Amino acid sequence: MTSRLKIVLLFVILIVPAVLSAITAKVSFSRAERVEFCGSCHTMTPWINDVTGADGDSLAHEHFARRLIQHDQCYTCHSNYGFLGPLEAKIKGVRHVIAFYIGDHGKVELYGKFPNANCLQCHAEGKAFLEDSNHEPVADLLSGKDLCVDCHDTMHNVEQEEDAAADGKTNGGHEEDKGGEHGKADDDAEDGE
Amino acid sequence: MTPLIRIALVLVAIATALAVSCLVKTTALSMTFFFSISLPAYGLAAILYIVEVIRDLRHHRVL
Repeated sequence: MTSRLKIVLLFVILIVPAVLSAITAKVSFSRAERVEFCGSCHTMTPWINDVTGADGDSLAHEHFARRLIQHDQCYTCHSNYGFLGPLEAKIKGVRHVIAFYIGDHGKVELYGKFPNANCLQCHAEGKAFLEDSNHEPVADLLSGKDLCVDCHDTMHNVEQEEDAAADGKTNGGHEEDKGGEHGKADDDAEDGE
Repeated sequence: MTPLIRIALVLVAIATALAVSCLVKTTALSMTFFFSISLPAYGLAAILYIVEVIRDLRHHRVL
């Protein structure tokens, strides 16, 4: 090999790949926090539609529609609050992809209970949260003894939409009255403000 | 060009194609390909290159 070829190979095999890897990792990690990235898996389409759709009564939709969270709405709630939260979220994301491609197409659900810290990272110091008598004793929520999702359980309305669609078929296409759920979602949204 | 360098170049070409596709459109699939195929391929190509450099240096009695 000539000296010139050796220098070219040094760039092609070592330096350019190192730079390209660093750029791709940085850009892709940043893009992976966006709602569009979560929607790139077709499995998530019902959840994305619930969040970003024009009509919705879920807590996630209210947060998105009212821009209570400005950017990266999925990631903000679903990456655990803490030092290793973002890393855990990415590992879980890889688990999602592996599970999908090895044929596990079961029900989509969280691996564990939705932690209060993910809500309290925004709400803990909020006036509406602290003054709402339903949140007493606040210490139990802050410590995780009581779960936010025990009461605010309409995080996403995907299953209920599926149920409604099934009911619609059996009831001759009449849409089920979900007024009670709307009322609850409104309460949830007010809590968030 | 030695066989090791040829293999390294093929690995770099495959890895670069996947990395560029991840840069152009970042999806769960393209990102998985990048981290599970591109990065190991780049690493392997670098190792092959270094092995070849060491062999070359030994051949010229530098090492």
